[in-house]
Amino acid sequence: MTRGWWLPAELRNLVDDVVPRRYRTPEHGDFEVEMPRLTPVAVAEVAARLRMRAERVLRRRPVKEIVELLDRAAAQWLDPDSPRRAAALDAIPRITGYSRPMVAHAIDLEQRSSRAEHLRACLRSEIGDPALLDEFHASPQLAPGGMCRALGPGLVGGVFSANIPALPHLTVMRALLVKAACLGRSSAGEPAFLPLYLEGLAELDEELASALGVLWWERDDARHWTAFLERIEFLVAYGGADAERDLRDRAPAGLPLLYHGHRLGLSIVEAPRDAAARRDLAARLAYDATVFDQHACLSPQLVLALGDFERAAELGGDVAREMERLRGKLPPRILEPAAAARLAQLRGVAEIAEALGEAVRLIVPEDGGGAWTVLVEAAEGLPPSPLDRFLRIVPEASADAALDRLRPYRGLLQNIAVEVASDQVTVLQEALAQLGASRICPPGQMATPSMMWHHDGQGCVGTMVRWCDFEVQKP
Amino acid sequence: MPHPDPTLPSDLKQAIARGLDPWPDGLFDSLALRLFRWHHAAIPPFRALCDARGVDLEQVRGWREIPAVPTEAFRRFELFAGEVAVKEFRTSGTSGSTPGRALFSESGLELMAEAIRVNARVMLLPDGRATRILILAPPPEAAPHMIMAHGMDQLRREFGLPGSRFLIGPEGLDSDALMSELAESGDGGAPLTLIGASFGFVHLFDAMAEQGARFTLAPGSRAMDAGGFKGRSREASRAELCKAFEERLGIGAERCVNLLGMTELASQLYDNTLREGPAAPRHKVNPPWTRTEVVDPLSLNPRPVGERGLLLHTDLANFERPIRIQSDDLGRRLEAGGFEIEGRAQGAEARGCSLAIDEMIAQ
Repeated sequence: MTRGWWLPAELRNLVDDVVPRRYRTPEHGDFEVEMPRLTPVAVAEVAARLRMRAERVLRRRPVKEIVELLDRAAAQWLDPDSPRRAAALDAIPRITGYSRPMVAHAIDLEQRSSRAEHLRACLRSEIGDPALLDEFHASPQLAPGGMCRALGPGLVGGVFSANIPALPHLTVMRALLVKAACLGRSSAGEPAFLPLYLEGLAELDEELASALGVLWWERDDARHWTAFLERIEFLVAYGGADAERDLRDRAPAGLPLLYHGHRLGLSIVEAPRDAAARRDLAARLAYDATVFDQHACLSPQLVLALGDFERAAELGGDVAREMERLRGKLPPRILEPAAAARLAQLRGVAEIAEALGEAVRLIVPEDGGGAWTVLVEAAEGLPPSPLDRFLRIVPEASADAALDRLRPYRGLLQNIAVEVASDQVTVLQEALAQLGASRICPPGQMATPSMMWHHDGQGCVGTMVRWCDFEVQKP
Repeated sequence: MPHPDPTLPSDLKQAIARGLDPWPDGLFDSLALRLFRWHHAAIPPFRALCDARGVDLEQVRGWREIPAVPTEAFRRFELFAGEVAVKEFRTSGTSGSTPGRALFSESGLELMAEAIRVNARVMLLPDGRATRILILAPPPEAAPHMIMAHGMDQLRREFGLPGSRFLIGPEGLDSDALMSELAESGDGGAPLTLIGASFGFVHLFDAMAEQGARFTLAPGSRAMDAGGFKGRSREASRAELCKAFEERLGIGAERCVNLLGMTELASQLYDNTLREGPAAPRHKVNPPWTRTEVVDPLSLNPRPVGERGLLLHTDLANFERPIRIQSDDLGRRLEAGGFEIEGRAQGAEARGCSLAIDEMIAQ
């Protein structure tokens, strides 16, 4: 049975029991994942022992070796013949409903950006000289003779969400890079990937993997949360607003915390007049809304299309064609009845508005199914998308008007794809940064940030370390 | 302004007044088609929907061919065939969103009153027993746009013993008054009919559990809850609520009915239990002037018995509003007849880390 947890061999006896957890998707029917049962005391014990492994093992291993290990792991995941990849491709669709090609694509995207060159670039960007994580080295910032050392926490806690398949390894990688042990609490929505990832690491380097583990307990198991939160030294968490509130309430005062909550993505584009160029833009907009079935915080919920309705509608037609093409390559999940019901409501209203002669164009697949929806319409504010490849294209008079529209959402913006005339780009980039966006990229690249991205505006590795300076003379 | 054919209101009223026994063949279709023709002429957004779906007025032969209007459309369009609206009910919604509006003329209100009366007599008060009706909802004066308050007030006026009243005021639930009513009924007083929002009862029982309060209400007492349980699984909450009625008030599960009502429908759908007794499996009953289909949410094709789908209601008491309503409730048709609700469609907020903008604004 697929496992929803993993611990180093010597800690496995702390799990009292395992129970099957049942999943049901419209496409695959029932599926079971083995989930752990353990006491809060055992959670505390696991945390304490993983932390000890950080001291005994990780601290002695040069960061170079850790980068090499993670690189080899990524290479294995990218190998089409890897049995672990096959296991993930079997389990994750049955758990989440994502199509198998979509999960394969997600693994490829995530692991391609987890190679040694990306990890090194990330360390250089956030730490400077990676060797500072191993020992004191001369620092050019200090007076001559001065040295610096960067130290990670003993134990990083990870709390994961389920919306992107194959993503939780990112937190494990970041912890290992700063030589921290890592204990994850997986999401019941997708508990399968991380145990497979850790198992793979253990096969490559049992010693390093002995500082890693992933467990699961219920969201309202208060004593498990306490045991976990009291022993970790840094928390990285993903989830919604309720989960964030719960975590902040439970976390001990002073626990440093990086919370990646709900954020809003969108695109601002000016459709080219040239048909071929417009089709190219449409293909990239469609791709951004297709990857992860639009469930990532990076995914665009709508497109602001500079120009009038007709121009937006023209672009919408092209986007729809590309959505249909991508549907063949990366099939969408089959919608649950509740999601389909919501979609039917939105489509029904648009259908009426369009038939009444309002400036609305609703484009759906020929079979009428829920694979994707393109809705071109003038709208106020940022009307919500029900996700699952529902892309609104809203005509917008100008870049300034787009900024006026976004102003009320200050602090909630994250990833914005921009493709407008070059004189507008500079204006937009500064204004969007001021409004709290943490990534601006061309359409087509929303789903593929690099390891260097300051997710939600933070250096995710740099923020975990503390520094010690060694001075020999006054600066 | 197009008018209905002149005898349509009285024909509808007479048909509903027949009660809950099955109608003769053809009656439902003929009334539905007369309403449809009028609505097609008098409600432009409904006509637009017919055009969009390629539905030709002249070709429609049966009620199933009439396009269903999504409830969401009541937020964006005025869907009213009457001339003068004297009453407007509104859907509740998340803060900031436009509520859906259901408009009624005098004759529309009259027809709804008849539907409420006929249905309640059979489904809520089949024993004909007079009870004191206590209502855990705000009175219409305090909630003029809440269709549930309006309907409950009618039950109070038409069926309640003296002393029947609303127990939610500006300060919230008047729990002192309620507790003394419960004690009095348990102490040889009148049987009670407790009606209110499902959530109101959940709060009541939480409070009673805290105080350790328990009563055994006078024989003949009963309860009706309307609405659902926000954010919790319906089945678990339903079972808990029935248990609490039994434990805290001595009202057995067979004397508790749930009511499905919607602002967009003039009729309500009751559980069968009070009418049919404890032996029959619990399900919702369509009075003969209504139909509920369980359909695929996107194709709107009927789902097989037992399989989950969207509830699509047809309500001939929707005199001046479209009679076919596509809800966002899910449910399944039961082997033994009738249907049951199984949760409401959720927006994007429950999923992903993409932000549901509604939720964001609410913060």
